[in-house]
Amino acid sequence: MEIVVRLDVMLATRKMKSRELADRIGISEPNLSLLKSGKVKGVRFETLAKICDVLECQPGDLLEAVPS
Amino acid sequence: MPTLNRFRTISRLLSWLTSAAMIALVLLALGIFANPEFARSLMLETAPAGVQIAVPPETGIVYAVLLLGCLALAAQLYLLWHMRALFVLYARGEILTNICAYRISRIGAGLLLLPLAGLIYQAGSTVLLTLGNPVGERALAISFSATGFAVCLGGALLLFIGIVMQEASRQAEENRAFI
Repeated sequence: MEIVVRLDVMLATRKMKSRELADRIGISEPNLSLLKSGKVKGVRFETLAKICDVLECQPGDLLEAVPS
Repeated sequence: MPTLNRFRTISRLLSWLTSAAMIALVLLALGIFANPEFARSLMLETAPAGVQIAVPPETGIVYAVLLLGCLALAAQLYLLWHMRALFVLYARGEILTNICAYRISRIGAGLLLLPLAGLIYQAGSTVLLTLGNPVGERALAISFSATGFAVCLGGALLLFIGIVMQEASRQAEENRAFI
């Protein structure tokens, strides 16, 4: 199994740009881009909570486990 | 920020100084190798207290002692090489990186090696220089000073600090991979 980040889907659903989300949760746009592409080792609970707060969603809406 | 800039400038200066020290050491060693007479008189003058050298050493013995001295020289060059590399990294602004930590641990190892190399040189050189003495008057001098002990302790401390810093930089690197 591998964890896939569905942040781009949520951003499209909420009609929000990456830059706006990055500004509102206080991380850099390149870091958010890395997170969207899944090229990170992990996500801090703190960051996840901020994203969920801004996008009004649950962690499960952002992360999905798929067979590798 | 001005403090960091000053730190980088001083580091650059120290990297040049260590380079100059390395060159000076090598040139000095080459100069001594090229002048065995001078080396012989130097060995007679700097023989450990209490060691009697009855017969001035032959040229072969002088070169053998000089080769033994290369061991101590190698330890000094090893230490200076890693110091220079660390100062170059600091001058570039690399402070808390894995390679800096590695250099610090190598400097510690070099400091540990230095008194040991001196010890081997002294023991070996007294044996070689007193080989011409009559049987019963040959000597083997081994001494370890308080300074040497302090250098060893400092070296061990730096070695451990370097190892701990390597672990810290690894964890910092891992932490950076988390968003």
